[in-house]
This record gives sequence, structure tokens and C-alpha cells, in this order.
Amino acid sequence: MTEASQPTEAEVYASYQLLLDGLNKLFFATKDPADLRILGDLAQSVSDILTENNEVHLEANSGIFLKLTPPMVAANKKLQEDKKAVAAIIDKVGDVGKAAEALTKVLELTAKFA
Amino acid sequence: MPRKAFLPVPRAGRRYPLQALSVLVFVAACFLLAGCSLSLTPLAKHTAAFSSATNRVIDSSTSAYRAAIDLHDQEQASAGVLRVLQGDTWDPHDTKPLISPLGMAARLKVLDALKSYAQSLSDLTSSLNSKEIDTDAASTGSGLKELSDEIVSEGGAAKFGFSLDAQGAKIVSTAAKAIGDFLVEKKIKGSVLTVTREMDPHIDALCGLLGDDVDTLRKQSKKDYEDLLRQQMLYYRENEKQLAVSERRDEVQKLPAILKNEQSTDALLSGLQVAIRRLALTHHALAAAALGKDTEALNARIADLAAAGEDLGKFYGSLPSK
Repeated sequence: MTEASQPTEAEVYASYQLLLDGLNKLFFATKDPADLRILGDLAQSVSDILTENNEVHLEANSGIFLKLTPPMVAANKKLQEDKKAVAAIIDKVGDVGKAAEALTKVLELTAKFA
Repeated sequence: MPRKAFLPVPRAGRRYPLQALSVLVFVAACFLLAGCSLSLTPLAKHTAAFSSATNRVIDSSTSAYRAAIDLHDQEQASAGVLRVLQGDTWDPHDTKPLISPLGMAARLKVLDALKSYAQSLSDLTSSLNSKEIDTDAASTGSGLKELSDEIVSEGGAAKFGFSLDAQGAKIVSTAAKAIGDFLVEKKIKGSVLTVTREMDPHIDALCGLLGDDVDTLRKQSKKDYEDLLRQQMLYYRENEKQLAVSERRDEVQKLPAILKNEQSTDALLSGLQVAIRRLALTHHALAAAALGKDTEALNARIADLAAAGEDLGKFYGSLPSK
């Protein structure tokens, strides 16, 4: 005899959702306030179970979001450093011109003593 | 010394700098040719498009979280009010947020980091289009020309064998720019390649997680709207005999309005799920394109992502203002 496998979380959720959909359909087909109240309370109980499941799921994800933050921050830091390195390269292109200007001034000075 | 025999004998008027200049121009031309195959302009455009679409997806995700939290608060308040009207007790302090403040802070932190990442990629790749490098290269050429003019005026041209006219200065500027562009491009290409490759699995995981969150928000929002519908109907049925006709009309009309909001929200969240999936695929294509692989695929992904971003913008634009 094979053992029946446990339903997955998604399957359990889907079965509660199906139950809620059925109760809602019944609710909107009812007119009597007393019956509506019973059906409404029942639907709200099932709805609360689904809400709790969603809250637990979102809370579990919060922890994973936190774990994803350090690599994102590290990548941003590296990109900022690379941006500075690029700016330094651009500055160096200008430095050749600045060196030439400095050399001109030296030549001007030495010419006076020639 | 015998070694000296191998050295060229300097002659008056010989123009070494011009030979050097030729070598410089040749090297620059090689750099330029190498640069052409690695052209950064499309990459800069792609990273800018990626950044802009990422911003839209993240802003939409943040709005979706806030809207889902507000809706859930509204549902709990509506259920509480109904309970009070039915003679039961209700403590408004018992209202519980759908996502805890800490959980929301964790999400906002990582989403902001993703936004910064996309923006930094775009900023970095746009460095090559910076006018600064053109200005600096031009100053290099003019600086050398001034130096040449100075030597000539001192009668040293023959001695140093150096003269540089306006045309020569322009060549030096071009060469300096080519070398600068090459070095900058090499650095940017290397950086984008490394960072996008390292980040790709993290972006994939983040988009998977975000997609999973939005799936939960979608289920929860649908359920909260259905709860609101039920509570409104119950309120109406329990009180209809005490209401005037116009009041009854107003109360019943609230039902289709709630349903319409439910449908708009679901469509918006569904569009957001598509955009998040496309964001992951686009980053993957961006990492592949930085390796020089399949840039056509990247173009297609960028277009898909931009379209998804535009759709999200339209959805938000169509929502009634509160």
C-alpha cells in the first residue's frame, strides 16, 4: 500500500480559496439577513485563515529581502569606485596639456638667463 | 663606447617630435579601431533605458505594497464597523498591518539599492559621452602648440627640431582623445562586464522574490475586496428597511464601485508581475551583451521592458485619485 503524499502549501491554500469562493457565491444569492450573517461569519473565518497564510508568507520573504541587500550595496560601491577611476583617466588626458603648459613656463624662465 | 654607434646621430632641424607624432597618431588610430568594435554608445543607451524602466517597476512595486497595506487596513476597519453596528465589540487597536513596518523597510531598502544600481550603471556608461574628455584632449593639443610657438619664438626650433602648427595641434588633440576614450571605454566595459555578471543571479533572485510578493499581494487584495463586498452587502441587507430610497440606491451602488476597484487592482498587479519578469530577463541580456553576446536579444528585451513600464504608467494614470 502506497502512503498518500502530504498536500503542498499551495494546494491547501487553493482548497481554502475554493471554499471561500463557494461561500461568497452562496452569500450573494441569499436575501435573508440572518442567513447572510451566518454565511458572512463563515466566509470571514475562511478569509482570515487565508490572510494569516499570506501574512506569514510575506513575513518569511522579508528575511530573504534582507539577505539580498548586502550584494546590492557592494555592487553599488564598486560602481561608484569605477566611476571615480574613469574620472581620474579623463583628468589624466588633461594633465598632458597641463604638463606642456608647465614646460612652456620653464622654457620662458630659462630663456631669460640664456 | 661601441654602443653609441647604434644610436642615431642628432642632426640640426631633424623633427623627432613629428615622427613621435606619427607613432602617436598610429597608436591612436589602432585604439580607435579597437574602440569601434566595443562601441559604448549602444551600451550607454541600453543602461539608460534599463535604469528608466527599472525606476518605473520599482516605483510601481512600492505603490503596490502601500496600496495593498491600505486596502487591508480598510477591510479590517470595515469589518470592525460592521461588528459594532451589529452590537459586537471591536477594538481598532487590533488592526494588524498586512506587512510589518520592519518587513516593509527591508523591501524598500533593497528596492532602493536596485534603483541605485541601475542608475549607477547608466551614469558609468554615460561617462564616455562626457564633454570633459573632449575639453581635456583639446587642451592637450593647444598646450603642445603653445610650447612649440614658444620654442620657435626663442629661435630654438632648429635646436630642438620641434614645431607644431594648428593642424598638428588638432592631430595631437585627436590622438589624446582617442587614447582617453580607449582607456575610459576599457575601464567601463570591464566594470560593466564584471558587475552585471556578478549581479545577475542576485537580480534574478530579487525579481523572483518580488514576483512572489506581488503574487501574494494579488491574492490578498482580491480577497480583501471580496470581504469588503460581503460586508457592504450585509450592512445593506441588515439596514435596508431603515434607509430612504435614495440612501438604499447609494449603498447598493457602492457594490459595483468596489468590484471595479478589485478588477483594476488585479490588472495592475498582473502587469507588475509581467514587468518584474521582464526586468530579470533584461538584466540577463544586459550581462550577456556586455560579454559581446547577442546584442539583438538585448534590444528586444529592452523594448519589452520599456513597454511593460509604459503599461504600468498607463494603469496608474487610469486609477481614480483618492
